[in-house]
Amino acid sequence: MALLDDIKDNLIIGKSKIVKQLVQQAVDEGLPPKSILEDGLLAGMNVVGDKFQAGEYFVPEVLVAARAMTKGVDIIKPLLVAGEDGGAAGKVCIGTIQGDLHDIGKNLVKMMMESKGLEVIDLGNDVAPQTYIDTAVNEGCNIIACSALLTTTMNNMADVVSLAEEAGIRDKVLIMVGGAAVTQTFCDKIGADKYTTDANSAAAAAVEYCSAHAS
Amino acid sequence: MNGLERMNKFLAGEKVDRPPFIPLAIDWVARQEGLSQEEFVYDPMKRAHAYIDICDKYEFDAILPDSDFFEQLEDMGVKPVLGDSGYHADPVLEEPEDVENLPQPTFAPGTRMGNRIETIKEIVKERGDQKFIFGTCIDAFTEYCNARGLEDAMCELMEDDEETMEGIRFFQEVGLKFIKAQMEAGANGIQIVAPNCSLVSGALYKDLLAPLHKEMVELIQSYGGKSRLHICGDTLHIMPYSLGTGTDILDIDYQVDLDKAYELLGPNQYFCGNLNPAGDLLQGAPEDFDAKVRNIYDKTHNRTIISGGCDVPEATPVENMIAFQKAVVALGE
Repeated sequence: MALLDDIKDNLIIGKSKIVKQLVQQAVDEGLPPKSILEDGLLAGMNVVGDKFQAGEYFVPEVLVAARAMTKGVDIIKPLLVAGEDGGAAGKVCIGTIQGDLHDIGKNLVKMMMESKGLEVIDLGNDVAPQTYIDTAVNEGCNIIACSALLTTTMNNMADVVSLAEEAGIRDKVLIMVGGAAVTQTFCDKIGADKYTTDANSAAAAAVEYCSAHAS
Repeated sequence: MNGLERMNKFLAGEKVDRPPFIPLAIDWVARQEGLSQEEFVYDPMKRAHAYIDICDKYEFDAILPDSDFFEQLEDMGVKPVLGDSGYHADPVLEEPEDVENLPQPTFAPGTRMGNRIETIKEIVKERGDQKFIFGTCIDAFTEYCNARGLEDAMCELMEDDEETMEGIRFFQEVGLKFIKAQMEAGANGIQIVAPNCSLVSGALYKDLLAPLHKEMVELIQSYGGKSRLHICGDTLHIMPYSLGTGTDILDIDYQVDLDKAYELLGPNQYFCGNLNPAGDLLQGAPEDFDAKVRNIYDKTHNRTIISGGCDVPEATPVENMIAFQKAVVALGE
């Protein structure tokens, strides 16, 4: 459908105003909101994610595309019937670990995960380990994702792992870690499940896990 | 051969006993010296002597008395707050045009930038004949991102680069004055700190940001100083342009492929780096440093000042710093 392709193409190049207009036009023309979301907006973000992974796109290109996505989603979200929001692929709670206020990496991971159809609960920055656990329990999250830029804060990630064990959810959630300070060695040391080096591979790993553990 | 001699000769392409050793240590210095963040950031004499002590003790060839990312912005109205992760400040520009309302820094004693100048003067007085002394200047793009908010700044740069570059230009002018003041205070060189530049495409860096860095490099060199351009992360995609600024030294982080980077290095240029701060300096074992340092030396044919790829993590064990220094000395044996 040409209109959905236009939405996708303009999202890829970050044209927020045009995406907003086109999404409204699509709604006015009676296109199903689910189609607009999946074949227009998410399809565009998937291309953005692939370009980011391939080194063709960088942070600014991803950010403007994400803004365009948000503008489009804001229009159709109220129109989506419950369960049609495309977020059924899995649920993630994500945040920058306690003591750390850097969020660009975390925000990119969130965008990439959402582009893959995951529902992401953004806990923000400076997130206490217990908050991850409480959210995972209360929201039924499949994945806890922690990021850290500062070496001074990353040790708090170990508390997330131990608190998950105490809460009895350790075998029910995937604990993912990432950020400039984090390494595979560190991930192994604290007993986290998955370390990824960039936003796209984090999203891919999350999707893979959720697909493998779909009930 | 002292550090100043070693740096000057190395950067002139002359034979030296071994490559210079200049880890980028900031919070690590404060911790080792038992200074609170507030003392380290706001007391120029305490900071000066903390750096002198550490650079003497661990035989750094250069002293770079850095502190935090708000040293320049605080003189322009930003209010940093000390938290668990160091200083943080909310964006001060609610709209891009608010840059017109920012106060012009005076560089007077007691101001943040004025204090840095006092720190440099003190270090020059105490160690100016022994150590290479760097000032620093945060680049205009990073300043704008911190003042506006990173996401807003980057989106606006994509959507209206002309208007956004006008805002960035304000910080460029302040930076140029700050560089001038530090060189006149006796610094031997200036590190241009540009962490956000690794996040942008090669085309954007080449067209919009490299010219700003080139302007800073040329100003530093006009004083007879050495420029050192620091961009964290994997910067291979912008390296033709970052080296194209004519910088004397390009800091390289651990992610950079040394073989490919070396192919781009100009005849009178040098790298500085590139051990992994978290993986090697903080978490590595002392016995691993010889091989890692030798790898940098071999792959870049002794054209690299040895350092970490970015700043030394605060909790880095002292034995690792000692092992690091010894590994560099061993290159000359």
